[in-house]
Order: sequence, then structure tokens, then C-alpha cells
Amino acid sequence: MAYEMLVGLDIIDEINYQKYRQLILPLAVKYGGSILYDFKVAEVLKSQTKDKINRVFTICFENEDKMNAFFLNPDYLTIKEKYFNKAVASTSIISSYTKEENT
Amino acid sequence: MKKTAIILGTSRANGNTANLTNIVAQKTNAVIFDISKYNILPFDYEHKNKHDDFINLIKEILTYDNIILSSPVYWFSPSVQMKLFLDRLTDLITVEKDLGKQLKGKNTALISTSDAKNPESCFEDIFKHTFAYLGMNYKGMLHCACPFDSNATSGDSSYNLDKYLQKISTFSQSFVAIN
Repeated sequence: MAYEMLVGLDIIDEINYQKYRQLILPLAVKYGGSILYDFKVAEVLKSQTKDKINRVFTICFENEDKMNAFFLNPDYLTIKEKYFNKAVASTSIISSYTKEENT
Repeated sequence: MKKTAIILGTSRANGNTANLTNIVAQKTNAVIFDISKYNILPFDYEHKNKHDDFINLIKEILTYDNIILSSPVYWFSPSVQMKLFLDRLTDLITVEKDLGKQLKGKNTALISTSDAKNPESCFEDIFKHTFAYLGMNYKGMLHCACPFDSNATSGDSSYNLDKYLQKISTFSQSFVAIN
């Protein structure tokens, strides 16, 4: 059973966020992880959070354990510290769920 | 905007091919997938290696429109890392045909380095024939000569690629142009 998260971000620095993505995607492959949907948001019509959201994506892993291992990987944490923390003002985990396949 | 992935197969993470790949990646906004960082086993007729990283890597690469392969020339051939990757493409015409079919129509190109001005044609032929078999659109090779430095003592020593900047820009621009 694959495990997926639907995430909203408030990106304030596109260049550093893009660098973050470029570095984490190859790392995520080792955990069977991939971003399946990715949207730049033009307008938020309804939300359950006060945080701004201008980017929404889904990230899917082979299972929840692999997702947790990825986000605890020291290389990931280094990349996050260097690029993500400068680029993103807030993160909203909109939903997380298991699904039949990583598709 | 179309996305570009570069598959890097080399023995030195900071060597000539890696440096050249990094320059092209900056100019094309590409994501680099270093084969050395993955557990990719040799081709197995019985496919007992199906749980290594190869299929996950392919699934991710297939989300890109442009797929560039990058390898040094070792003894007229690709690096062993790249050869592992190429051999495993057989999985995509046997047990993972649906994935293999998705390579058709993707744009592709080749990055290479060696101590020669131009590699022997047999090097590029391996890739050209492979890309043609898979139905990929081959856009050509960027090759930069990096003469062996007999005075180098560090395994991380690398050749200065500055004199190739125009050639690198032309290659990158042509790839950006097909975005």
C-alpha cells in the first residue's frame, strides 16, 4: 500500500525552493518516493488553515515507514536546512492517506 | 515548461564528467540523478533484482520530458555505472513493458568527457542505437576533452572546463530550445 501526502506551501523564494526540489527528488527515489501532482496556486477559494498557500503537491512513497525514513535522512535534513527553510514561509499538510498503488 | 533529467554515471562525484554535468544542469535547470547513489544491480534474466532502485528511478525519470545521459569514456565505452543502467533497460522491454513504452518520444542527448578531442564513434553508437531502439529523439552529444593530468595527486582533481563554456552553452541552449 502506497502512502501519500497532500501538501500546501507558502513559497516566498522560488529560486531556493527550486534548488531544494532539484536536490531532494533524486534522494526520494531511494525511498520509492515521487511527486505525482504539482500545482502553482492562482487563488485559494477555501482553506482550513490561516497559512497562505501558493503551491500544492502530492508526494507518494511505497509506504509510510519509507516516507518517514526519507524525511529523517541526514542528507534530506541538510538540504532542507540550506534551501527549504529559506524558501518556504509555511507548510500545511492538507491530508495524508494510504492508497492501492503508487500511481 | 518541459523538464530535464540528467542521468550521471561516473566513478568520481567531483570529476570532469560530474563537473560538466553540473554546468549543463545549471543552464538547463535539470535534475541530476547520480547512478552511483542508487542500488542498481546487474541485469538478471530471472529478474531477482526487481526490488533494487532501478524501477523507482525509471518511474521518476519518466516524469521528465528530456532525458540526458552523462558518462565518461572509459576504454572506448561508457562507465560501468552507465553500463549497469543501460543493461537494465532490458527490464523495460520484458517485465516492465508499460514503462519502456513511455520512453518513446522523449528527447534525449549525451554528455561525455575523455582525454581525446573526440571519442571513437563506437562510444556514441552504443547510445544512438539504444535511443533509436527505444524510440527516443536523440539530439546529439556534448563531448569535452579533459586531458589526463599526470601531476594530479587527488582523486577529486578535475580539468578546467572554462574553455568549453561556449560549446556547453550551445548544447544547453539547444536543449532549452526544445523545452
